[in-house]
Amino acid sequence: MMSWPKAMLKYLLYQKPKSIPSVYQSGIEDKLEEAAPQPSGSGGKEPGRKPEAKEHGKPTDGTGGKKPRKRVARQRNKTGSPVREKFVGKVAENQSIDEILQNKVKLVYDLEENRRVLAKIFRVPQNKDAVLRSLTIGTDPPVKALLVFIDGITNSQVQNLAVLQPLMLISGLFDRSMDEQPGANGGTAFYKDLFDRVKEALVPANQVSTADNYARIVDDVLNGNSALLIDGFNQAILLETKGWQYRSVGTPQVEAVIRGPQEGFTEQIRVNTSLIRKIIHLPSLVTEFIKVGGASPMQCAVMYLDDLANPDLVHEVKRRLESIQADYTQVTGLMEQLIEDAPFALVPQVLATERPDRVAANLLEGHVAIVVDGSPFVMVVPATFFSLMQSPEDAYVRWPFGSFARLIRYAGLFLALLLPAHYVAIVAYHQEFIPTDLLLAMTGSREKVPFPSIVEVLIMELSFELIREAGVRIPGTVGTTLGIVGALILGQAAVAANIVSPILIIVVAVTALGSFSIPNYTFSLSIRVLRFIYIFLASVLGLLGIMVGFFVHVGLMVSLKSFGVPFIAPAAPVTRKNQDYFMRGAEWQQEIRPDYLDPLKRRRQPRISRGWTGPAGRKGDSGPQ
Amino acid sequence: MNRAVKLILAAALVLLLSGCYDYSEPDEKAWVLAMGLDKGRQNKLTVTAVIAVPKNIAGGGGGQPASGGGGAGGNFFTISMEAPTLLSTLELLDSVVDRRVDLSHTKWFVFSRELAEQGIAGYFAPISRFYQFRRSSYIVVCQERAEDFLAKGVPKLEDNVGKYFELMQRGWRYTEFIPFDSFHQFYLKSESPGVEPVAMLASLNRKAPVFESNSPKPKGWYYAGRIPRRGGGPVEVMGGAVFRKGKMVGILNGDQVGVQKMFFDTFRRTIVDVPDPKHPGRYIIVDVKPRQKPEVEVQIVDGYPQISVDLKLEGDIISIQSGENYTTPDRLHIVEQAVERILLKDINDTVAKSQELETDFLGFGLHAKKLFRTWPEWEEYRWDEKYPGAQIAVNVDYKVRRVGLVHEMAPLR
Repeated sequence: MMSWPKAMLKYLLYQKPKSIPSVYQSGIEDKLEEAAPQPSGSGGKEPGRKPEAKEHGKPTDGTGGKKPRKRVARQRNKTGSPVREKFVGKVAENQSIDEILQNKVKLVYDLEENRRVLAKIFRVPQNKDAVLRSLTIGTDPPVKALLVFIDGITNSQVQNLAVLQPLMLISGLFDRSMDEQPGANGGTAFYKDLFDRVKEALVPANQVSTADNYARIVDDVLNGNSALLIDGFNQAILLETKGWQYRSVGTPQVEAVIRGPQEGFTEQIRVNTSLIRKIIHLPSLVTEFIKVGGASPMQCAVMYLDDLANPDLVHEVKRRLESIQADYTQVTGLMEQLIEDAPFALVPQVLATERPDRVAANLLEGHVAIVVDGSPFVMVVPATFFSLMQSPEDAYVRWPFGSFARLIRYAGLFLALLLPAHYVAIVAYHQEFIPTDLLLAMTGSREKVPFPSIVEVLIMELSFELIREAGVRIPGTVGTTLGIVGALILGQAAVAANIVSPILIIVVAVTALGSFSIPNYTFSLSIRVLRFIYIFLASVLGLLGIMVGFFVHVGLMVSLKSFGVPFIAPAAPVTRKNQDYFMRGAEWQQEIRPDYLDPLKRRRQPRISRGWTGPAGRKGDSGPQ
Repeated sequence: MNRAVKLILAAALVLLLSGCYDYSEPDEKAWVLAMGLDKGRQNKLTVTAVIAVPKNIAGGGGGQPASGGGGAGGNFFTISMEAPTLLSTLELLDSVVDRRVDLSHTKWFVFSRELAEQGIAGYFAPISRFYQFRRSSYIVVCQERAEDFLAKGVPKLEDNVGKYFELMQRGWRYTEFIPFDSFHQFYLKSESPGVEPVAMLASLNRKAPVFESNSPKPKGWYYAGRIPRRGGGPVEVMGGAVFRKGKMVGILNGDQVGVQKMFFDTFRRTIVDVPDPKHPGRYIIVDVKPRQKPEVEVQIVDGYPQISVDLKLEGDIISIQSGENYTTPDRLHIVEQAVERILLKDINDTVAKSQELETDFLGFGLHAKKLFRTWPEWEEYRWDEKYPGAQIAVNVDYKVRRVGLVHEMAPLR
């Protein structure tokens, strides 16, 4: 139990650095030490602990002497639950289906048997979504076949025209024409067998693949494809027939800009990837699909530029995603919580955006994007403090205005975070800061207020949070009510009732404006919460408390990492900076990619990017002769 | 709850030890805007505190503007108490005022002339140690008792008497009549050998104006308590009180304060009425500003200092009463010489006064200091004893920069 001094020594004494396989694996330094054989006997109690077996993002305490926390998982699966005892037959059936899928049981030659197994897997006939359509392929001789698909997520027009029609009607025609060709030695010689011939010649769908086990068929069918099983073959043809309803591409709801593209992501992953690819016309833009947990294979895509992004970073992103075992990860917000480095930190560690142009710009810097099906937000990793404070519009307007907007935004950040706390601290502890006129005015306006300043501030801040939360949840039809009620609470009425002093209304209003100027919603949430901590510190310790709190706050942020990249990256640790981390430099100055990403190509544009400024046009030709 | 969380909580509790636990609302404090010190009637001192009434200044919670006027039941009230020291009054005040008395917004420390002439070093030097005390406040010497001065000095324009005090003092920026020395400078000058401070001189208006004779006099000839006027607010601030070793030794009139400020480079601007050299009884009115820092050369000859001062000034012509065309380049020197003459007279008067008072309030000692290699040598020289015997030569150089908005003016016919 007394080994924590030893653990502290680890940080105090010089340790010879060990080689690190990937800089993007955060906390890898600690993990290496844990993986190394521990000298004391207590460490050896857990032979099964391997670094790769650990859940990522979950901080495992490195204290060697600590008892391994044994989670006594009751084996309730087999016995003990009355529900399971009652439906023991159903449980057994479900388990047998799971085994078919998990063991990747192969198809059999008999079509009826395949049909029976698939019906069992899809719970037909209770389940009316799954359709098992029998048909006959019109070849000579006719062959029995089975088309499996899920109604509603397939495009029935494609199915009719590109699958059923050729198979049932045109197959015969084709058959004859093949026979008439001289020297072709009949259709059977041109193709290996009937299965091959159906796949190659009879289904004019744009993507066709084969499967030999039930699990693969189920995956594809659940994604909107159709599976064609033919009697006498232990394989199935998977046909691209996806077609379901989704929201069309609209304007971004959260990240609105004035000058810039007005397209936002939708809930359909394929649309989202295409929106990005529409901007980056490069063959090196790679979209990798990753199967996350029990979800479908098309659930999650990782996009990066193969000739640019650091392969270590790409590997780390994929490693984290692949290792996730979770029930429901259909939304970026859920996925984010499973892959972030420090789940107990208050700041977001991925940049979630709904703007394809922003994702594209980040990809071109060497970031990696994670697109999740079912969510109109795309995650960009790694995220830094400065990227959370940027808006795409900074780049779309000319640089002086972009820089000015950023300055305003940082001012807003500090106001939102610290203004109420400073009000409390100065009013309660440091009245000598206030100009005499203002002090007397404040004192005079407070004369009839029965509460101390801290209570006043808490009342107003909490009612503001209430209005904000209510504003998000309120149905649109009664939305106008909120404005009236909110204006009454936060406005003149509170002052007239002598609940708060008038100057506090200004403080709360400026704080609110400041917090709305933060471009990242998640980051804004964290500022909202931290504000109350600062108010508390100010009420207890005055400006000293704010100072101590700020010190700890910045310390925590500096120690944070997002996919191995320090959160305040170009500023702390100090690395080479480009012209776009705090202020926005001119477009022709944006010459290097961010240093903390360590991309494969460092320079993004030559030193002279405006060739026409050189003598006689350095880059281009001399123009028309 | 594991050990780390416990440690963090313990660390947070340690943080609380460093708090000072003086949470107090501004409406739980009584804001003293000025303090006055008089010779005591029943104790050593009579200490007067001017305490603001914020609800009248701010107009209460309802937001209606404050009513003007003041006086009894107005924007401030004064309390005078007999006490042995200035700060012990803070305790006594708390038994009269319901709110805790706080000095952190005090603007003026007013000493009565009577007390100042007896010596005030023992009163103001110790308070600079006290944390509530601001060194940006001002030392004021008033001609009558400070308690009357503060109680009757109700401003005409301001609701907030604190703002009135601040603005009155801020006059040093645009008039030569108000000395610059804030408490900080006053304290430093009192402590250092070779320079002496000048405090603001203030007075209540007299019952009846004193008009002596209507012979022409320069505008800076007056000082507080002697300004011939009718109307206006009860308080007047003009001229300075010269201190030596913490005791008031003399009074400077407005012009002499201006000269003192010229030598310390705190002089900003003034208006000078220059008798027209060609038209007796008429004036040329010019604006005077410093052009450079004053150049002071000190030599020690035969054990006594020889001081030569170069004052470089500039300014504009504001008005020429006679209409004589002085504004051509070849005639400007007439005006310049006339201005130099009248400034030199003021300066020589002031220098003579300082030597007469045996008080180096012009700060020549600060320039002489560099002639001595060590501090003991400098102290050994005893500047304050040698200064009255110093030979001082002042040279004034005035340049007209602009001649105003009228060109080639012809006299009225």
